[in-house]
Amino acid sequence: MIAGIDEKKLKRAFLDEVEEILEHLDQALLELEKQPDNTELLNEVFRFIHSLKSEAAMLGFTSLSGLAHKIEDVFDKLRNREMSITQVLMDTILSATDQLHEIISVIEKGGRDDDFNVAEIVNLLKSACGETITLEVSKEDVDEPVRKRIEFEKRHEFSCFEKEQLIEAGERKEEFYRLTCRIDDECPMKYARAYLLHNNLEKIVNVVKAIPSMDLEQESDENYATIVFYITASCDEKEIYKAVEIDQVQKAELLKLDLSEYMLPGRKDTEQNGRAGTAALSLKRVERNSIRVGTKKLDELWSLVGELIINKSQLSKIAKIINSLNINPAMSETVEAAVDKLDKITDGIQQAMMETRMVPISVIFNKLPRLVRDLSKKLGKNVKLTITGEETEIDRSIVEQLSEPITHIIRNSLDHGIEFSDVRVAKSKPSEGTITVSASQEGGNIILQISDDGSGFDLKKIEEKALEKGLITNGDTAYDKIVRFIFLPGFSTKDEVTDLSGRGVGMDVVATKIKDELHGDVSLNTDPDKGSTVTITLPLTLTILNAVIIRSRDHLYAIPVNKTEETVEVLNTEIRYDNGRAMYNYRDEEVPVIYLDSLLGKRVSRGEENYGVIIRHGSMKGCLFVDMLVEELDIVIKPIDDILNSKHLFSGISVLGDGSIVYILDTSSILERL
Amino acid sequence: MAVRILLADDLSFMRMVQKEILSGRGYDVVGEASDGLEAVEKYRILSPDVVILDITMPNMNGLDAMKKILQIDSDAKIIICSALGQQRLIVEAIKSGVKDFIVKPFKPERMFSAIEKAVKG
Repeated sequence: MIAGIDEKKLKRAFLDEVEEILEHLDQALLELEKQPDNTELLNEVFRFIHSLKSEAAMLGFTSLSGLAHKIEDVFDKLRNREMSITQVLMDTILSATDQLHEIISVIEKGGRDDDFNVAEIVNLLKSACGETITLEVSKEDVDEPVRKRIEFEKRHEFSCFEKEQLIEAGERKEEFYRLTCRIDDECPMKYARAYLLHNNLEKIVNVVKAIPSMDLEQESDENYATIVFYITASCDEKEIYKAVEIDQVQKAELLKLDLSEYMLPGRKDTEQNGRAGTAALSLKRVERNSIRVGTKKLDELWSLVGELIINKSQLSKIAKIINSLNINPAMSETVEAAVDKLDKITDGIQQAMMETRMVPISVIFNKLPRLVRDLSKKLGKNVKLTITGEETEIDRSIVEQLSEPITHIIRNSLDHGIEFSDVRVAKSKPSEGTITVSASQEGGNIILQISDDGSGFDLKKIEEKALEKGLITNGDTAYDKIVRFIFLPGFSTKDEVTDLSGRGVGMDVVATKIKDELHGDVSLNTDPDKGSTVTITLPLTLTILNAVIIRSRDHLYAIPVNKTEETVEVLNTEIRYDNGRAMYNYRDEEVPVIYLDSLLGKRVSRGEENYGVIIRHGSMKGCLFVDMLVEELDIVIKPIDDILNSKHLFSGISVLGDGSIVYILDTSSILERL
Repeated sequence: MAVRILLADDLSFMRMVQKEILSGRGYDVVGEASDGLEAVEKYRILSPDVVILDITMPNMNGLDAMKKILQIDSDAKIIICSALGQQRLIVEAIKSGVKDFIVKPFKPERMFSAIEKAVKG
């Protein structure tokens, strides 16, 4: 543990960085599978795993660092051409990295990594090495001094976390040193001795890095004969010397370094940087473009912004009232100008805050190649994955919940959509199947599409099922309607896997998640033997909604603007009845009229004239009758309690500037029950 | 004044050898303990300058005894004495504040210099 640093903060920084490393590692490994001879890639993987190991060791996560160390060994052998990549080895490495992921997620949840027994996978890695070790090349091929040099460079390289520490030390105006200690040759347990040195040092300085690392059993004891500490200190050099004045430590060499050169990315040669006895440090401030902020802090800030928006609209209302009183025209003008200004500022804050919530969707997409690789292999199918638009940004809280549905859809495509190569060839399709995942932003929405060129859904079977369940009557077999069944809760359950040839299983779960929790929409296009496309439409953010506020009877409701087509004035005479169903002719299309009263279980009473809001969901449309169109504005979504939402008509509530409550209508669910 | 030392080892032979070595050099072995509990008790009574604690002892091992002693006197100068293969325990002892450690079998000089450094530090 590093003295003087908050442990929690340390752990968070560690997890943030490790997750990033793992993500890069996963990508690099998959790439490596395609180009096993790419030396650069091998080195890259080695570096990732090496940083992971060192950082885990620093925080005392021994299982994690131990496993990483074993993987590092493998890659060390690989890059030194002592062995080569085989399928078995690759599979073993991938399951080892899976375990790394698992351990990390346990640590993230506050657990310890000791609970993990990594022995089994470590043995697998060892035996994988053993099996392929026959390919060993004579060691004389590698220039020994060059190897040592590379080894030195590698070990003395600072990780991002260590650089952060250096930057912080610079801010505290500390000096930066390299301390080299040599332990007696005949000293037993050199590691413990080195540890004692380390321990003594930490009492008075900040040890940024120790080489070899102080992680137990990482290195053989002899490696600790010479130990190098990179330290930052504010104390006198004499004190540092005194701290390492330990029995059996022969000599200590303290060298002052220029901190600024070490904080920059791509550090230069270590040896040249050490300038013994240089005068006071001339610290170049490194400009950092980003800092890590806890998501909890952002959420707090975000909720304050929500309150600010509510308050601002309250203030505008008050200003309007003041102005309408016409007491003092000059004052009215001033108030108006101030409110206008406030309006612009809050808009700016809202926009900026929204951007802090946005993350690229690549967070999810990057995991897909591995999924497709593993699954297609398991199924014995030949599948290619194409990804586009991974840079598209989306609200962090949406991304977190998207992984599961997307994975599910891809699983379905692979399992039931894409055919086996021979079947594909027989259908005169390319033997390799393709799954395409794309993301794009269209207005206030994010559109995600997952397509495959497989066999498509078996509509006939779905229709049979729907008929059997009494969901449709004979003859009512419009394509749209049938496809919709796939998303209906409980339509396809596990025991019907074979009935429905498995396809569509769990799609209802996907739909529920996207519609109910993410306020999005999902639709399906399927073409027999050509493939299917699942389209997911999502709002950019979950917390602020651009909505049309309407009044119906004495209540206010909000309708998400992205779910509306248009607002229209509707005369009673324009309503036509078809088999007792009220229909309205909207742009030459007959759309059903929806009365909120009847949805709420009240008697429908109609006035002379009404307004209609045309709402849509996929290809379904409806004309929602309202008494009055109030305004269009941004509202802050708050969750609604089930007690107030027994009919599941609402997706949330919001509070307006004047304190009045609006219910946010769940238009998708309303249209679906027609 | 001679440095006052408390020896703790469950093997009376080991204590005898150590006492011999230390006395020969002019150190004053003020007490001996055969287990951790006794070591803690004797520390309390004798307030020695340096304690040499074996790791493996019955009743209370050297590590726990060390922690107890440090609770009594956070400035206590403790040297842990261990056998090879107990590196992990030594690291734990260092974390808990031990000043130095010696590894059996050790040369007398090694013991002397450890004591001198501990007293000075």
